[in-house]
Amino acid sequence: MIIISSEDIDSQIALLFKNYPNLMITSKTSKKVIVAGKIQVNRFYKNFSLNKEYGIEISIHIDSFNLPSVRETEHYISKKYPHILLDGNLCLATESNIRYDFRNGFNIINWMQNYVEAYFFSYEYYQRYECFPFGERSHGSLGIKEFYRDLLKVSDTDKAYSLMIFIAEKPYRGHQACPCNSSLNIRNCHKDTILKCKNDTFLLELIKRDIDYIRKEEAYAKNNRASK
Amino acid sequence: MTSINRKFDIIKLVESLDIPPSLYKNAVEKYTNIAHYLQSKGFAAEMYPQGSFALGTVIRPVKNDEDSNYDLDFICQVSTPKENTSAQELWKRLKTILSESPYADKVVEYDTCFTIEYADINNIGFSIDIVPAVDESFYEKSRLISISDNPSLINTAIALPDHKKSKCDWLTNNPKGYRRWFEQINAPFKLFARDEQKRSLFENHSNIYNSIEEIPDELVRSSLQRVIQILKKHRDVYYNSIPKGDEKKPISAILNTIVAKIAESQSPSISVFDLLETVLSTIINKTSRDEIITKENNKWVILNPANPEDNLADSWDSDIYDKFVKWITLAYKDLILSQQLEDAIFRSHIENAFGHKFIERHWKDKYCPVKPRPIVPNSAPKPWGQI
Repeated sequence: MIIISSEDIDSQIALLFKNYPNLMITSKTSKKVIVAGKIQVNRFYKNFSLNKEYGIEISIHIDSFNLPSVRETEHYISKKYPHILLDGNLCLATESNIRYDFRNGFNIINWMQNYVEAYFFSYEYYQRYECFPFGERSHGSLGIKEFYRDLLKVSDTDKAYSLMIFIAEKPYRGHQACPCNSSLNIRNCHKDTILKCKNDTFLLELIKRDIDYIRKEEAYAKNNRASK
Repeated sequence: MTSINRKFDIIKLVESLDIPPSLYKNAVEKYTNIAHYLQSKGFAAEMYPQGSFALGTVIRPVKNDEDSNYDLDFICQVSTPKENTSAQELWKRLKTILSESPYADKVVEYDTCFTIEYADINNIGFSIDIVPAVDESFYEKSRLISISDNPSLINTAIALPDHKKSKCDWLTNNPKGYRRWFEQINAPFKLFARDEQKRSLFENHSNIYNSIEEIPDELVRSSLQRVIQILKKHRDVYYNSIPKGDEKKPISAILNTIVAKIAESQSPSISVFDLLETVLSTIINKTSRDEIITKENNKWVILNPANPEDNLADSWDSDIYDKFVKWITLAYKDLILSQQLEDAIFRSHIENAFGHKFIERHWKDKYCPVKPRPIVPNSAPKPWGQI
């Protein structure tokens, strides 16, 4: 699914500048727009308030499956913070989390407010209180499984992964044992969840992509162990 | 807004946390009545306040993010000599009398005290915590005098029943001696603040007092007492948000002792914020901090000035110590450095110091040209990272 099309890019950028007037375009091609400048994050949750300015650079891909990425440009975020990629991009959430949230259409303002601002809020809260206000995901494939654990409302990541594989790769047979290992039949266990996911084209695609990612990462890890 | 206005507004916040004069009067009546009742039942006792109620540093506590009732602590000291009773027996005597008293349905027994809850008046209530005690023995007092830096304080030392050990035994303490130590340091600060504050209290509470002279000295707050109140509130808000905060937060006795020791060398006319800045920067500076919080045999030490065997930092490990230093550094940023920042950012620091809800209630839109938007936790993302 294309995140932002060439028809939409100008209106999304205009909306971005209306809400964040200190951002500006620094580079534009037919495939990508880079926007940089300062944003003011003015948010609160429970007893913590944040009102602070940050320098950021956003890369927005046009007519592409790639999500926008964002980096903090003033080297303010500690290098020890675990949720920042080697290339400096901020790890806002699992990709599937973001894609699922915007399955009905990407909105750059919602992305800024719900992900980018929330990221800085989480960072400052963590620096002050040494815990995450809304939790965090583990890195890599475990974090992806955690997303599906919460989405599919199962108790652990193993169950989540078993359900993912079943949804993506196996036909539905109600009398079969439920892939969550409950020892019940599917029809008496996760029937609704499985059918809902199988009938949701968007979610099904997401699950397949993530299974691919998880398998590649696990294969890589296995090869690494074997070579030691 | 000027820095003077901001400081004035912060002090007004602290005043709102303090025990209101009407509640103070009510509390004094209540504990006096309890003392009379105990005496009428042959429990010949002197009942006196300890802790924040004695020192004039009470602030309204917060439990589960909501304002809670004031906790007022009292010692109920009987005239029975220590050698004529046991800790267990003393505890049982008081328990029996309270269970047969008009207070019976309001009394709750805890490990360290008996608590009597009083109903809310205008949404504010208080509880009276009572700890039974006897005068400490001559032998123990002599021993403490020989090792104390403040021997003149020791004569009021008491023994309390201690249920924390498997067998209920005596624990030595000295709240009267501590109060004397604190009041000696506080006296000049209080004298400086007294006249103006009593005038202000009378103007704002003329329905309770007929004249300025009627206002008890116990309601006057010096800059030293206000600094302790500010730090207690900041401490409560901060440690409420960190994992296992309750186990790690510095007890009030530590704050009282450190602040009083630093204030001792300051002019009594020092303002609240100048004293606050001095206290915080003294603790932040490692050299001066090491003179107040010492380390002996690998243990952190902050001695109770009225009891040389009471190390107030006895439970501290390196994690608790580091958190304490971090907390003080944050208090400095929130309360001192923020004074120089623009209004909206100053306000966000004060919200972090005293709690967002509390500031919303008292300041409404003050210093807040653009209201912050809430983050909805259910939809808030969890940061991730690829391996």
